[in-house]
Amino acid sequence: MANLIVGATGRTVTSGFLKSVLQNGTGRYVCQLQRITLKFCKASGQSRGVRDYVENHLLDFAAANPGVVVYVTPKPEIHARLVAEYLNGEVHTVFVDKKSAEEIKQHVQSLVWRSGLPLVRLRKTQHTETPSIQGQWTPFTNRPASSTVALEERLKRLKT
Amino acid sequence: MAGLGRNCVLCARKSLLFHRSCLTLTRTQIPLASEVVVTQVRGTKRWVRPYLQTLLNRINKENEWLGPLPPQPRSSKINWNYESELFAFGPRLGEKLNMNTLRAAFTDRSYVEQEEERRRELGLPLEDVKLDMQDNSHLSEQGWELTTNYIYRFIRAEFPLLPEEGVKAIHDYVTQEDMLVWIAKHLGVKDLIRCSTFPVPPPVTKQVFLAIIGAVKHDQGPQRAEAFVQDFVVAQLVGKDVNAMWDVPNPMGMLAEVLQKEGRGEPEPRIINQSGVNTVTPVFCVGVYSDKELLGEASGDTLPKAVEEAARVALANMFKTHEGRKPLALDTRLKTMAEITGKTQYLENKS
Repeated sequence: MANLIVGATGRTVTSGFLKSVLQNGTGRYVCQLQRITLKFCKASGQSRGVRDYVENHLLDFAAANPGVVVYVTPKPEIHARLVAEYLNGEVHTVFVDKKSAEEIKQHVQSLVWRSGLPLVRLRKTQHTETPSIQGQWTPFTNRPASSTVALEERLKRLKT
Repeated sequence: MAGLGRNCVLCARKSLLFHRSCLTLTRTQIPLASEVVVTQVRGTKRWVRPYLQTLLNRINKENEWLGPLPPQPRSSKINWNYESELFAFGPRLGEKLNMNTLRAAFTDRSYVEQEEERRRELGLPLEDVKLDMQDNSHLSEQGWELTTNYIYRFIRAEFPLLPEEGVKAIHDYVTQEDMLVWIAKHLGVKDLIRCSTFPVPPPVTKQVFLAIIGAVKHDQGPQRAEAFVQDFVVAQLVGKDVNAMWDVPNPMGMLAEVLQKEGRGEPEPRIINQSGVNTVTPVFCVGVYSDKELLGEASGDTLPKAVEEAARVALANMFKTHEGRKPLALDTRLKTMAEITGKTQYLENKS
């Protein structure tokens, strides 16, 4: 999480433009979250929210997102976390110690909506690969061919 | 010292004590049991830090010797269920696919052979060695046929004036192995492939991707499979320069041919503008004319380059693949083939 670095300013954080993976959305939208693993402790108080989430919300989530594979792996004495794996191979981890089930639900939803690309500071909220359909301006743009000749003649006249 | 260990080779777990280190350490450092005197001392354990430091040094040294760990398949991890992953594949792409078809599509021939070989080594009777397992050769053939047909039709409908060589060049670009492997990788195909070798070779990935298209055709019909090809394969043309895909060796010669076929005058390159001719950075702006009509213009730092580039621009203008043309018809209104055919007829009537 680049924006959590202490002392990070707008210049130290990696910046970039909006991107899409594999032209996603041109034809149809493909959810980029491939699988999500819930790791938590069965006994610890800090994992209580995750256990609550598993009991009350996880089945609804799995039913609503059949394209996401859900793994639940309890492990003693570990920090509760959500490990999200994306189609582009990236893995993102969210630590959810002491978070309530509602908060975890929101975290999971944000993982579903993400593209899997690294989090960067966006320089602009919109982006295009073709900034100008007219093309780059050059000194010759919109200049009629004959004008060179006319210019030379005028220069000659000025000299004489 | 946190994050000290990496995944252990022997037990595939993240552990502080790297097993190959531990083996050598125990062999050398633990003294005989009779010599050990166990005493309990309370207070700061001053031996812990140097001990861990020694371990770390040893691990670092071993990592230097052995180099980076080889890539491991995703299926080697503990949270992996092939059936669940296979089930999620269809809904992810919005397709209703039969699990058996999908399983066949992901199975390479080499995997079946490997399994049969394993059975043979176990000493099973010959009639049991033969596996009743489908591989993807048939499905991938079907998928390739459909893909290549659809892409040709789509490009012809989009660029009706482009000669067949150009159409073929665009088709070859969009169906090249690197492109199909790239698409397959981003649809989550890579982890599901059943193949005898790892990492999975690119030709196998390509074949599996085509087999998936074949599976969509098998389960949901050709129209749905064509939509699949359009959404995932043809969509990769967005934002790409179509003219760069077709390498014309002699653009001026081709331009002359095309003009002659249309009964127009010969192409005539002329300098429209120039600047800094006697400097190290000259610019020549050349226009190509035919019957006093400007076909295209381009600039270059030498005259032959500018002329060639201008001829390319003129060709692009004539074939209607120029910059600033209408975007590809990838929207939902033109999804069905009937509508695309209608569009072709409309364009033909118009031209």
